[in-house]
Amino acid sequence: MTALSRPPALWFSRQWAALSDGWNRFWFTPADPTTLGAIRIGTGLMLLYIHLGAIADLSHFVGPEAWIDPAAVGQLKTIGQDAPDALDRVARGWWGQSLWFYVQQPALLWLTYGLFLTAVLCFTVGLFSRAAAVVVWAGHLSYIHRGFITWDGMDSILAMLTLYLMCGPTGATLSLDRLRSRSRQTERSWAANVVIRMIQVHMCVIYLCAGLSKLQGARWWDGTAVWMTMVLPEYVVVDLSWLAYGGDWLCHLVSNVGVVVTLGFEISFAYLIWNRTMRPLLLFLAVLLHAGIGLVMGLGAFGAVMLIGCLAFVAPESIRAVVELFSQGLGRLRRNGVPTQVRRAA
Amino acid sequence: MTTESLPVAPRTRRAVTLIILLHFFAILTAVTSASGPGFPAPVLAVLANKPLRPYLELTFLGSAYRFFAPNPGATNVLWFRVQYLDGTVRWLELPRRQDFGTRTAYQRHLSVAMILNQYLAPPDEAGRQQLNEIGQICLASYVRHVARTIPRSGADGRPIAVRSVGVYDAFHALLTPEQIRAGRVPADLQNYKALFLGAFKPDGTRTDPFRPGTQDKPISYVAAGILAVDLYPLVKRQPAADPRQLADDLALPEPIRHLLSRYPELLDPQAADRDLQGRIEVLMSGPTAGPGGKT
Repeated sequence: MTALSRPPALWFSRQWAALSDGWNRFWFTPADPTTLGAIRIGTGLMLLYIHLGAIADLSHFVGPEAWIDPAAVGQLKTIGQDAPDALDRVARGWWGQSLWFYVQQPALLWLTYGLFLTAVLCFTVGLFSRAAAVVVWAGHLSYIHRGFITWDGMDSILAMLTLYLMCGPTGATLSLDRLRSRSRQTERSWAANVVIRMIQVHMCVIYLCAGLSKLQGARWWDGTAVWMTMVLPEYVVVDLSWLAYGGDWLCHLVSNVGVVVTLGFEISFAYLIWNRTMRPLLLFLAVLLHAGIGLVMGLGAFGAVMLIGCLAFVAPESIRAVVELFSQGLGRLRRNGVPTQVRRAA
Repeated sequence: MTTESLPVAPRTRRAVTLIILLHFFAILTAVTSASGPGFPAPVLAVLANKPLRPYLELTFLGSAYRFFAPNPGATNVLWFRVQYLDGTVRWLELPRRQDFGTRTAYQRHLSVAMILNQYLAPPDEAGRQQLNEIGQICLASYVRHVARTIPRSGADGRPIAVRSVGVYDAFHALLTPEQIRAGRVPADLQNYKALFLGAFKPDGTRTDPFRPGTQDKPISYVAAGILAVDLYPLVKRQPAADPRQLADDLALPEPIRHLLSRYPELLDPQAADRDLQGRIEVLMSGPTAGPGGKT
């Protein structure tokens, strides 16, 4: 019987079965949680960096004297409540929640923030990972929602990573929990796979949206957008304005190449990253793009967080190989002791 | 591996599948329901997004991920003019890199300044512009924060309360290669455009006659006002003091300090006797201003 002579219902049922089988294998095939462990460590380190980096300014973002004070929080919560339509009230309302809406006393505020930072530390080293992951997710969201206007791109990526990491066995490997457990073997887990897949799909959404939305901008079409990002006065770290003295053609060349690489990478990431041959090239371009943005514009934390998300595409074997190399180096250092000149200097 | 050999019970698989589909459907509505200039969002996406806002907002997953899109544009900082009950004045420029020990702290304060632009409603037919409801709440809160956290002590060491706070949104334009070759630097006054956001009591109540609108002011007008109203009276009262030091004590915004260092003749209060704004405009369009130098 040829395909054309088959009843359409049978054709549809076979396609449905194939689709369903593919879906189940994509999401539910057990996976090595090592990749997840690496993402957990990276996310934890970045959370420590950004939260400790602004700890001296905590009272500007959280508490009774914050840029958005409790009176303003109260007013913001009432926005949209007068809309006649129930759906509009839902859509226009502010649904952010924060522990620090309720904690205003400075001592209590610092105590809760200290507990949050302790949870981030536990999360990073993989101690009581499950509980720590929940506290970290809730704490980071509380911080963003309470600040209201102090967040930027890296916070939305971290919100995504902490949400997913909370749902998987992030402490199953590369963790103190692992060392404490009696079992010596890392078990593959379908939950680990679900979480890794969710991060992968979400990273594709992020890059695709970032790329496609740039196509609405005239500066990305005329090729000058990258020049503009290189001279943003409030961002630049490395001054590249000297390029202007090389002539317009040099500025246009640098900017146009930057635009082509950025758009090409961001738009194609969503589909080329699934190709095993192209994957290393895409990940290399991700490092190149984010390192460039970090060096020139000072958005290193944002770049690092994006690269941590990209770790979801790195095979667990590669991560274990890096960990192995690292522990070998550490072991060699321990066996040979500290080099003599370092000891003398100390 | 076939579906049958997967170590997940069918019921669990179906439940997780449903959660994944709902979750990514919510993300899809978030990224498609954001309008861009000249690119309105599809009505269906906006409608589908409405009931999902609580979930997306609570989890902070409602971003449309439009980094530097549609175009990288001018950044902006905020200028606060804080006047105390004893008549003294102090300016606050938010943010200044040198005020922050870490990049993260600077970045967070830059967000405080830049996010106000998102709340600027489009101009009406008469060209008037104003902050939307969220923007007005935020701005009033900023004013209260500044009034509380920028203290001044009198000669007896007792704190002097704030009388009023004026706020400007200062847009900082990007330089073209041609302007850089002509000698322009980012701190040049002509790179700035000032939007007066209002004058406030320390409790955040707006008091100026333009409320609730904003006022687009020529930057030369703002600079002339700062020099004539805040700096020159101080220089006249303390003739023995170094005017540069007095300008530093006022913590004037960077482009004003840059203007004074480039044109020290403007430190002389006699300058106020003539057409100060016109003079600043002439200086701004001078030989180092480059093409299109006038704001």
